[in-house]
Amino acid sequence: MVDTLYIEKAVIKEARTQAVIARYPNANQILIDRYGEVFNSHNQNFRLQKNNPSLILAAKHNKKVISTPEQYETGGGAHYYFSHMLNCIYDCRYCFLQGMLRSANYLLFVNYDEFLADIKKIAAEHENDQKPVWFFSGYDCDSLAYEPVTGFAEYFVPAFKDIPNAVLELRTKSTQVRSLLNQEVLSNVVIASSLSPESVANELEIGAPSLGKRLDALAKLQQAGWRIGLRFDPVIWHKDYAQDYQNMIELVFSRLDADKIDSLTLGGFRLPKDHYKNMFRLYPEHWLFSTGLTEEDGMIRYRHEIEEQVLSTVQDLSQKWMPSEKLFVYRSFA
Amino acid sequence: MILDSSSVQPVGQQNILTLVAALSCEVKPIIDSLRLMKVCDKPFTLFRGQVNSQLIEVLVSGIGALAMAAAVGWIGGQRPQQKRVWLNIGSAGHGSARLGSAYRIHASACILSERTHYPAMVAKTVLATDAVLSVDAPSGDYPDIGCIDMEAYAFFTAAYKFSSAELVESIKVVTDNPDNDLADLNAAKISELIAPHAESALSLGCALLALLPTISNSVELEIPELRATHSQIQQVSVLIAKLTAANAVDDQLKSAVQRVESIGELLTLVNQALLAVEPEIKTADHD
Repeated sequence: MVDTLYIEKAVIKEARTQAVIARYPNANQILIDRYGEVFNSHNQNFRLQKNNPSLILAAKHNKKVISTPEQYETGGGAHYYFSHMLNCIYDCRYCFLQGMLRSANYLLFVNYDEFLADIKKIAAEHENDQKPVWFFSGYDCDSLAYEPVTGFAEYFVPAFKDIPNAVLELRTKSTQVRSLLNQEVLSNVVIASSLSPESVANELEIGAPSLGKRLDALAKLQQAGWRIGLRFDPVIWHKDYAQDYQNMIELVFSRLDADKIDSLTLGGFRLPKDHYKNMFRLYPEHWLFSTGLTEEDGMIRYRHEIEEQVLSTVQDLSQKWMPSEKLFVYRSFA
Repeated sequence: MILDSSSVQPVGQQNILTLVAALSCEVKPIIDSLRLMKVCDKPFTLFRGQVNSQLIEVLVSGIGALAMAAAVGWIGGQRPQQKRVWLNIGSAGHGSARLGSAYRIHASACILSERTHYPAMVAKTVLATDAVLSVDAPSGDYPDIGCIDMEAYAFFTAAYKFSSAELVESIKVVTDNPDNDLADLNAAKISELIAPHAESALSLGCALLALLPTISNSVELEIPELRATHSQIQQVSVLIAKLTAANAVDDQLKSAVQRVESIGELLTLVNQALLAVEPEIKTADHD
């Protein structure tokens, strides 16, 4: 439940703003000029704010759709990402947002029409590409976790029916799939689910659905005909990681049809040094930020031998079900 | 010397609730109800006491922004190793609210600044909220919306230097409005109007204290006196924090640490101990 809504004066009359306000009839409504006054102010503590985040309703004015770094591809052509929201209702200890953002408040950009216009414009620029252009959602928030409030998938997914040369990938840990199950299945939309062994999920993915519930939701989506992607990223190194990941992978492919999985990606725990420093400052007592890590080129990541060991192990385990052309491993070290 | 993981983030020490008001009559109901003792008169009047194992301070700054900023700076510089939460309580004017209405402040503006403070309001309370405009002299010229006072903006600006925004709040009680002239106000009347809200204020203060994380895995390492720079001590502190987080401070390490003869040797030892750590996740329940 959100206690406080900060609302940019410029979007107060928008239908989406009013719909969100209606969901929180008892919340304080505080009008602001620009979201940055609240969201970007100095001297905020992400960990403390996570106790009771507020929701900020605003319009995004600057660039809405951004090219992804080159290594983040899953078999498509050009890749972009966009974020209709910053921050997430979950509290994953490894999440880079804790280190990147000053505020843990949820920032929802309600100008969906302008996001979609930019997506269409970029897709048009790639009309003659051999491969479809990919648009990722869910890097700066969870794509589906706040769906009952944001109506994000309900709006964006059907819109991709009219953009046949584009693929929309929704990255999520959520089980909020009702709006997808109520929609026509589109072949150019992929639901990419982040999965971790139950032990890791329980320890690090605070507030997120259990592995079993995520698999229930994915199984429903797959049975309905939606394309599914799997993301084991970050793979978390720990004493029993090999057994834990083996158990998880066996469970995953006992519930899902491996032949119909769109792609599987793996990556180690890694983040920019500045984000790491902020996260360590927030959670100095957590082992995640203290063990197995090294710094190189401004990035904090697992030591080379650890990253190689965990990624190779999980890659080998995954290859029993996934062909190499669908398996993408993001290694930090060349 | 004794270094512990709390050198990165202080733990195990008592947190402080600091209530700040411009006038003693604004905090008299709280001082009386908690039976706080006056511990200082100059440069500012300070009351202090233990309530339910919490350390509570009540500071009287004097009227105006400068006095408020000075008082906050004065107390904020004391006990820097302890975590402090801040609550300003005071009287305010209001254009439309009835006398005695209390508001938790959700926005603090100042006629001399373009920037507005938006308190994070993470702690939960049942108090209504409103904005406050701080002016530099008593005024019966009430804004269309919100409260008017003289100190809130200075309070937030100064307290943010010492604590993060989530730990700094303000409560204003309406003591004058267009129907009740400022000139008719006196200390007794202010105390009378604020008294009914003393419990709410303390409740908010305690809610702020409850936000401070409790870190339970702090350990101490007894280390021989060594010549070391501040930076080296910081490095060791961070490494010990990491070893503690990894649950890797065992008796063997404790005794090895006691035998080191230089800071370089100590750094090597704790670095190597950290490299050897393999984190363990305890099996969790499935839901």
